[in-house]
This record gives sequence, C-alpha cells and structure tokens, in this order.
Amino acid sequence: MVTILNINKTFNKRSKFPVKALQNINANIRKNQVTGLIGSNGAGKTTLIRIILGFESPDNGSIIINDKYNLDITSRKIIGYQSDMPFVTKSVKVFDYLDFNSKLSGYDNNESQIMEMLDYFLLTASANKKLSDLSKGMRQKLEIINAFLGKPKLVILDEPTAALDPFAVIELRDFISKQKETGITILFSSHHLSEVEKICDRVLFINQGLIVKDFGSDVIQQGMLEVEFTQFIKESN
Amino acid sequence: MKNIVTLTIFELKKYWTIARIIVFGAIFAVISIVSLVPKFINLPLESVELNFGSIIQGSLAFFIPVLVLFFTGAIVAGDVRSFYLRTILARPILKYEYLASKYFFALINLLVGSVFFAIIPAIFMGLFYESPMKFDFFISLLTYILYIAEGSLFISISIWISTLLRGYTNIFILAIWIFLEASLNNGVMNSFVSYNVGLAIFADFFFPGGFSEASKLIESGGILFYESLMWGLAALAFFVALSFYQITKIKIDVNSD
Repeated sequence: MVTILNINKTFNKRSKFPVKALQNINANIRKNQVTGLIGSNGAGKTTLIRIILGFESPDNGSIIINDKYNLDITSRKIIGYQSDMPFVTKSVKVFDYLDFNSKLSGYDNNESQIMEMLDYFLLTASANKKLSDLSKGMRQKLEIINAFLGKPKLVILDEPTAALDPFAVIELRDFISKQKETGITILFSSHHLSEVEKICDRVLFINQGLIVKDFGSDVIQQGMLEVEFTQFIKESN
Repeated sequence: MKNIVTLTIFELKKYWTIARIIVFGAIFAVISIVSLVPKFINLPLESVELNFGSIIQGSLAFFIPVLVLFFTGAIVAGDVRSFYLRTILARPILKYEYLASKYFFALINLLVGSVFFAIIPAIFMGLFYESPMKFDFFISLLTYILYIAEGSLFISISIWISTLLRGYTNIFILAIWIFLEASLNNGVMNSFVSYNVGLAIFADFFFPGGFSEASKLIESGGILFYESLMWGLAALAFFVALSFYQITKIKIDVNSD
C-alpha cells in the first residue's frame, strides 16, 4: 500500500545544530494490515506521517502510495488522516464539520455514514453541539470519525488514544478491527506498547529518526511485544 | 470550483459567530443614526447640494480599509495556528483552492460590509433630506467598483503578508501600508514626492493608490483616469500573484515531532 524509500529529513540545516529528524527510512505499510509506529517524543513519527501526507518534503527519497510516486490529489482522495491536534472553532457544529470534510473528499450526501459513526462513538447527542463545546476526548473521537469518512483505503491515526478514556479506547479497538475487515489499511502511531500490541498486526519502532526494529505479527500474536521490546532496548544499550 | 465554494461557505460559517453579527449590527445601527443626525437637529441643508457619488466616495474611502483590516486579521496565519490548514490539506484540496476561498471570503464580506456601512447610510441621507440628492447611477456604480477593487488590493496584500508572518502581524503591516499610501498619494508627502522623480517612481511602484486615484478622476476622465486604473490593476495582479506563489511555500502547521 505504502512504500517508504530512503527518506531523509533534516531540520535547521543552516544552523549550528541541525536536527536529523529522519535518516534513511525504508519501510512498507502492507495492505489490509494495521501497522503500528512506536517511538518516544521527537523520535520522528509525526515527521514521517507529515511526509507521507505531503505536508513536508523529504530531503531525498520517495513515498509510493498505491504504486504512485509522490502524493498527488488522487492519492489524497484515498487517505484519511486523524490529526493529533484537532481543529476547534466556536461557530461550527459537529455535524456540519463532518459534512464539510466529507464534501471535500468528494462525498456530498454522506449523512448516513456520518450519523452511523457518530452513533458508534456515542456522539449522536452532540451532533448539533459546537466544536468548542466538546471535551478533549470527544474532539479526538471526532477526528477519528473524520479520518474514516468517505471511502479511504489508507487511514493514518496520529496518537488517536491520547485523550481517550479506557472505554473509548476499547470502542476504538473494536472500530479499527471492523474497519480493517472492510479492507482499510491503517498506520497507527502511538507511545503505548500495550495499545499497539492489542490493535496492530505489525509494529515499527522508530528511534532518533531511524526505524530500528520491525516487530512482526508472530511477536504480536504471541503477546511478546513488551518482552521483545525490552530485550531489544537492553541489547541496544 | 466546487471545492472553492465548499471552502468559502465554511469560511463564512467559521467567521460569522453570533457575537460578531451583533457587533457588526450595532456598528451599522450607529452609522445609520449618525447619517440622520443633520435631519434630527434640523441643520439647514437646503442650500447644500448633496451628491450621492461624493458621499459614497467619502465613506468608502474610510470604510474599505477598515473592513479589510477587520476581515483579514491572521487570515492565513490563523489557520496554520488552529490546524485548520492541516485539516483541509489532508483532503484532496489544492493550496490554490484554499487561497482562492480566502479571497472569496474576504471579498464577500467586503461587498456586504460596504453596502451596509457606506451605501445604505448614504441612501438614508438621500431619503430624509428635503432637497433632492444629485444621483448619477453610472458614476456611483463606477466609484463603488473602484473602491471594491482598492479593497481587493488591500486583501491581496493582507493575505500575502499573512502567508509569511505569524498572527495578526499582517493587519499591522497593512495598516502602515495604507497610511503610507494615503500620505504619499493624497497627504502631506504628496507634493514632496511628486517633485522628486526617484521618489515618485518608488511611490508609484510600492504604494500604488491607482484605484482610489481613478475614482477621483471619474468625472474628469481622460488619460489620467486610465493611467491610474492601470496602476491599480497592475498592483492588484502583482500582489495576487505574490500571494499565490507564497502559498506554495507555506509551512502547513506549527507542530513538529
């Protein structure tokens, strides 16, 4: 689905202290899988996501989405994105916001899908509320709904559980497995090992701008991610 | 075009909160009352010949810059800060479509605002005075169009600056730009500049008040009117092009990993 080829990105190149955000990143995000992206703050997760989305240009390297080099407008039609920093405004209602996003993706009459998803995340009663009246967790749910609107083939979730309560995390887990069954490929970025272990088929560990380990489905299915991860960290140190 | 329409409608929804509608309604009410003050205090205006074109020229010259400053504060920079730009561009939307929606949003607000703050109060004046007001449809319309064009020039400058600088810096710079432009073209510095060829060329290039100059030359017409109009159009095209170029370079969000 997504091939990441030799991606490098350095910030503040001209300064005394350039920041190497990504170094020779090579990875595959496989079709119909949930791929986890785990790493500490500043590891390069968000930079990689921004490059996949075309928000940032890499210094070199390429991103291939659905056999297409470089992100164009057609590629963006098949991508859903949940931002870690939701957009909030005082004057727009929840339903109008989702409807607007749906329209931008080319789905003009998407009321049934919007209501279905609001219902799934227990937000139906908030459909007429202003975005600014929602709690942090509700806003996060809204962004998750936003990412799955229309018919995306690839959904990128950037720390989707950061503001969610434990019940909502379980809801999200179920939701993601249902979406996966419909053939959607998901890239799931997180800080939490236990979370990615329960949700993902495969986990990429990113550290200081490098993908240092690819934990396969065998490790995850055996529930050995935390053990393997700890062992890997010890060996690396 | 469909995306631009969707984005523009959303921009208007986003901007027009109840609080803003109340504030603008109150300003409109005050301006309308002020326009009727001479009537209430029985000011002897029978001997004064009122000219609709001159009245709207005076009020547009004041309100167009004020309205642009109102509507374009942090017009692009605010979207970067609020993550709106990121939300939009994650969808199949081109940066040009986003920027075009910003132009339409500002222009629609300017058109509506100028009708409420300049045209309607002028009509009130005309309706309530004893002596008939001189009204030339063509001159009035052309004056209005030229001031809207002047407003579009201010919008393009404001948008361009907002793609470069953070927060509300764009309207501070625009306010200074408008002040300098007015000083160079009409005010105390005008005579000084016009006697110095170098300064005159500098002023023509960087502070081209072409549209407002043209509006003052409507009745006399002639080559000067067209020259001013061309200056205005050239400046408008330049700053619109600059803003569309700059949007390609914009940093989409303020977040970094």
